[in-house]
Amino acid sequence: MGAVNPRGSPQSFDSAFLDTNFLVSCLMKTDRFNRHALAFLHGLLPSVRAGKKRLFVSARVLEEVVWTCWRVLHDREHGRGSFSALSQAQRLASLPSYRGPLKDIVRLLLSHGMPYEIAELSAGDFADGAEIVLEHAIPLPDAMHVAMARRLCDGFIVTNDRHMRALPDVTCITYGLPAE
Amino acid sequence: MGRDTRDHTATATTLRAEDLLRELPEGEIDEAHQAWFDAVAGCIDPGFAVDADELVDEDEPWGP
Repeated sequence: MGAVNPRGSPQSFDSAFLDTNFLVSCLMKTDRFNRHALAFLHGLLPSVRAGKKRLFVSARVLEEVVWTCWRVLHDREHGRGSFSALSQAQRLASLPSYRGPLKDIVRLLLSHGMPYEIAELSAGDFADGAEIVLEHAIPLPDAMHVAMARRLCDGFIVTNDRHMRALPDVTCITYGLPAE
Repeated sequence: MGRDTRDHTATATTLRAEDLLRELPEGEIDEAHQAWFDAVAGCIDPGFAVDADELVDEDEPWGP
């Protein structure tokens, strides 16, 4: 595991891991935190350009973003909650209908101007993530994101995920939520 | 293996983006970053209100 975050000083924030829900909030026009997420992302861009801040995601984050877009596109056409009611086989059968828009999203997430770096999951991240799951009973993907945030960003992660706000050695940067 | 000295009862520190924004320096934005941002920003209109946190958590991606 990398250095543990120094707890709280905004000035010490020089890199951050972007959680799936943050990117989804940026993409979705009607997301309740869309405006807040975009304001923060845009505010970070000058620092990213100047090399003073680094943003990270993982391939797993991007995968979750695309998956979430797929279900939203499906629900837009067939009704809210319709994707959840499908079996895995039915979901896969629906995929060709959304191939075009999903390819566009994949291209966008990987396009030249993306302000984040795509980091690889390490064996150490897996070990740390597995321990988080066992200690705190949070979903495995969330635990992997936290493990990567600890290693790459001293624990700073941009997220509104309530699971992560219950974990040690993490600094959650929330957007649009009231002060605790 | 060494003894685990971490405090497992501790919880995360929370910072608000709105507070951090006030401290972030203004400056030039890379043209490619700006173009990417403009393409991403609200590019999907679900046609109904969504909450990303709930959407992502609703069930396991790709799983059976």
